[in-house]
Amino acid sequence: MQTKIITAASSLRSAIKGATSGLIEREALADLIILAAVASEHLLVIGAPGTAKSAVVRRVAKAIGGKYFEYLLGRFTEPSELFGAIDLRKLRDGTIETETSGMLPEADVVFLDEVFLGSTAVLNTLLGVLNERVFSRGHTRIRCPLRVCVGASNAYPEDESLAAFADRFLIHTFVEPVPDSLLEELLKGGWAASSESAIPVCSLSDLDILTNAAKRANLDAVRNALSQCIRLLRKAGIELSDRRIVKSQMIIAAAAVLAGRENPSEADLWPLIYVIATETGQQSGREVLKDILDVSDNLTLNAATEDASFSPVARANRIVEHADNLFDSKPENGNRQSWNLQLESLGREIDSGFDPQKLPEKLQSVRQRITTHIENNGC
Amino acid sequence: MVESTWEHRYTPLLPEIAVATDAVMVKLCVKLLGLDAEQLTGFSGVGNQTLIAIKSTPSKLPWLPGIRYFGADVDVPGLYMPTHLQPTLPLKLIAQAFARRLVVLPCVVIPAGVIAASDQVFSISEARPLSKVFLQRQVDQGVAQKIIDHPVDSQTSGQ
Repeated sequence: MQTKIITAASSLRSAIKGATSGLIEREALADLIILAAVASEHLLVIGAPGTAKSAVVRRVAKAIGGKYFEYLLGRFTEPSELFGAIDLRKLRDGTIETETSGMLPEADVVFLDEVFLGSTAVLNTLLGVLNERVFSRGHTRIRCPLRVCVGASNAYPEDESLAAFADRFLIHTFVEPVPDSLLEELLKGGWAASSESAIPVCSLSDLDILTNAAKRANLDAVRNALSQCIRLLRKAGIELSDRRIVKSQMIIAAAAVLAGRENPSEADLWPLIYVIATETGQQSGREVLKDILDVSDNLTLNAATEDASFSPVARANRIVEHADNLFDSKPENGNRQSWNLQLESLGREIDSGFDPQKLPEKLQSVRQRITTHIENNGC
Repeated sequence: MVESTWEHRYTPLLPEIAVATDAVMVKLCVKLLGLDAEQLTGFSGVGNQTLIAIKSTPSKLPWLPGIRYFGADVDVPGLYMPTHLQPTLPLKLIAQAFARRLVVLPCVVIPAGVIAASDQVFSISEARPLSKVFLQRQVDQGVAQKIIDHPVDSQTSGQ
């Protein structure tokens, strides 16, 4: 079983890599879509327009090979635009059935932009689909294959009824525009990404393997630590509803199987940060839980793990992967100045971010490789 | 009197100052001498016979094995400390203690064990834009110091 989990997790890792190729600072978002899909939960993304939210969801959907449905909601969006029109032939016979072919009820991955602009009729029908994975309207009642619904909005809703709807999305994340220091990479990556598209590199069966494994996981080993985290959060004034607390166990189990572990350990508690509803709450939560989350480790979802915990292992994993990619792309000849500068940048990140006496073994090896290169090439 | 010690910093500071001593200082200055005047823009620094501290934006700071990096917390922007360490006492208290001892901010605090066996504190208020003349002087001073410290090694390596 362990082998099947590791193979499926590895396929999903390839899917994430492929889906985020050329996109800057969006790997954590792709990680969270996969995490939500494995946990059979939904993801709410809050961020300014033009921050590649839809591009990431579209590419992840394509990479995992599922049916995809996306829609930009407005105040006047009719339920039929999402769920399908009433079948007029059947209506003549006196039955009210919805033609759902190609619409939301038949999709594996759904992206709903400006999700809080939906009308009451739309949001109420959506609730059924999100919670029960059942679409029910008139005489139509079908089970939806929905793995994950990603809702996006520019801002977290202040209206109480909409906040209740937002609460149905267990995982919340907040996307920022690319920072100044990465603008060059944004331009370069964006140019390259416009000419390439993600290709399916895994299948929905990989998701199924991991979802089933997560459902079977034994959380006994982490329950005390999880309770301690909740107590610390409450003490800091960060409240989580009982429902979110209970449901957080499934995304912790999902994180574990995505890391190749049948049962979660304390290294898998980091998703708890994303269960906190608000951005300020998440920021405070990182600070409150930093000592517990310091051991967070997930090679498949490394970007999200690092974002949630800033753990040394997650930082080291990213640096090692970056270094491997860099050494693999060493220019054959000609101007290596830019490549050398990137190597130096990694060396600087290692030496400024870690205690030299406690440098993780894999970073020692990367640092030695960089040092050897710099010394041999007189950089 | 309360003694401050240093502990692991959960989120490392952004490196803003690179400090190199002895042989690493010489290597660093030689490396920087290889840059043209335009590339040196944006660097400033101070130094003595055995140490150089260079300030720049984080992404421009040079890297060589042996360089140590320092950054400042937003609470006390002029107090530079090792990027991976934090004091056990509040930073503002430490800054006040330095002020009483007439240490001028901005300054670099090097806890014992990071570079030398004892604590070091020096002001970088006199930092000037890096020039080739300054860098060459640092190289000359570093080489001279090496000859003083290790006369036999220096003669051997020169052969």
